[in-house]
Amino acid sequence: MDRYDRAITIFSPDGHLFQVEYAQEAVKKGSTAVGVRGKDCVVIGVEKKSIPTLQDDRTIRKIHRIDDHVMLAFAGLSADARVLVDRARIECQSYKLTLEDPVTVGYIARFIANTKQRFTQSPGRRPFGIAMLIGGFDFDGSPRLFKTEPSGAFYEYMANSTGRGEKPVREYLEEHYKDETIADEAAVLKLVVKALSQVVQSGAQNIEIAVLKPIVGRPGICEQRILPVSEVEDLLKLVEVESAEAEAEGEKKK
Amino acid sequence: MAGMAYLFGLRTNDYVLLAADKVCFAHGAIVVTNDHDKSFRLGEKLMMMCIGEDGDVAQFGDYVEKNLQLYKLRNGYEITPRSAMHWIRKAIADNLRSQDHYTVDTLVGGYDEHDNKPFLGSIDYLGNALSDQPYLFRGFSGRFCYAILDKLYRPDMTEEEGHEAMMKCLNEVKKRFVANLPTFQVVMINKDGIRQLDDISV
Repeated sequence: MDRYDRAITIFSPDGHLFQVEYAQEAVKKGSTAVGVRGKDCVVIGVEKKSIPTLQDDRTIRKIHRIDDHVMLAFAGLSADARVLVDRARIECQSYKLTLEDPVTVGYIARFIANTKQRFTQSPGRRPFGIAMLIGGFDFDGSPRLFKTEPSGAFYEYMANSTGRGEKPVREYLEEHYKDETIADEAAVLKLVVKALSQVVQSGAQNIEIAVLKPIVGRPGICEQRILPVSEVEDLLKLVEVESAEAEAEGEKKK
Repeated sequence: MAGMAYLFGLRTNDYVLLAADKVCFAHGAIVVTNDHDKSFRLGEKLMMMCIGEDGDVAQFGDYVEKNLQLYKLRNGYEITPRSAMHWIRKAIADNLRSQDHYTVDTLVGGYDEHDNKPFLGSIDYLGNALSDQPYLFRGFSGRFCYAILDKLYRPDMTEEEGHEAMMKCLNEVKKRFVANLPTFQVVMINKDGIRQLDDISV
């Protein structure tokens, strides 16, 4: 059995590609990322790991903008992500150069997934140890959210998560993703913070959130905003107050 | 290169004023349209005007535009006008002695947010670059205009005075140049960004 996990291109007798599955394990070890598609915005939130005091925290980026209207977050090996992010950026520009239109989110998700898949099917290579949440806007102004896996599989979602806290966060989102919770930017931000706080220890320094929105009056042009720490703090406080209120309400009912 | 098209660039202490004719010629003697945009937006406060072999202009302009956009996405900030000019110069020079060189002349105008001052530069199809100039022209008719600006230029010209000086140049082009260049597009770049001014008919 243990021979089958050597080369990535060789199946085990029961149909597994072990190297690809190991790559999926690397994703599960990565820090949590969550993406939510709102009515008029896409929000991506990530867990930031604590860093040595002498390190410059600007050199750690988990949310990347790959074109004006597309951003992504990843979980897994950040070195692999860097390379893949750069390939995606080049493809975005090269697509625009040949076709004049900007990429659709679905197209660039498929491109990233294709690249990942190629690395699982030729000898001497190693799969990318990353899952990506890709969010953005199509040229018709509709928000989109995709997720790609190390195997090269990709799917579209309304909201999803990846990384260490994938399961509890996804379950939270499945329960709470409703019309009210995605109505506008403020609501989505709250949903993302609540979802993240299922797994992230509290503290605004441990969370990074980015919002992507089309600019009103300039069709096809988007604005990305990374929330400053103070704003994340306010959000966390708000969420805390609300959950305390909800708890008190629950007590009363009992 | 002494083509029929014409580019105008003026830099003062506060702004850069760029103008380009909007004509597209065919067979060297036919006006195909008077509505041909020769500008390429390279950043929030950075613009390139491009003339030359029409196919090369389109191809080269898009190539520059996309590469500088890639620079912005990779680094999280935009390229400075000075660096952009050097990048463009190199793009032309790298291809110069090859089959697929770009026959284009360009003016690059922008506002440098680090030095807090406007920038004007030019690159021709041989890879000659002039950076940080007070006024520059491209195309044959540019030759009459240097004398005009030599006389009129002051670094503290207001926008109105700049506009007036530009009109003097455009009228001289109308008067002395053999080809028909009826409409010009005009762009003003200052610390607030790029402003597309009304087209000028002379």
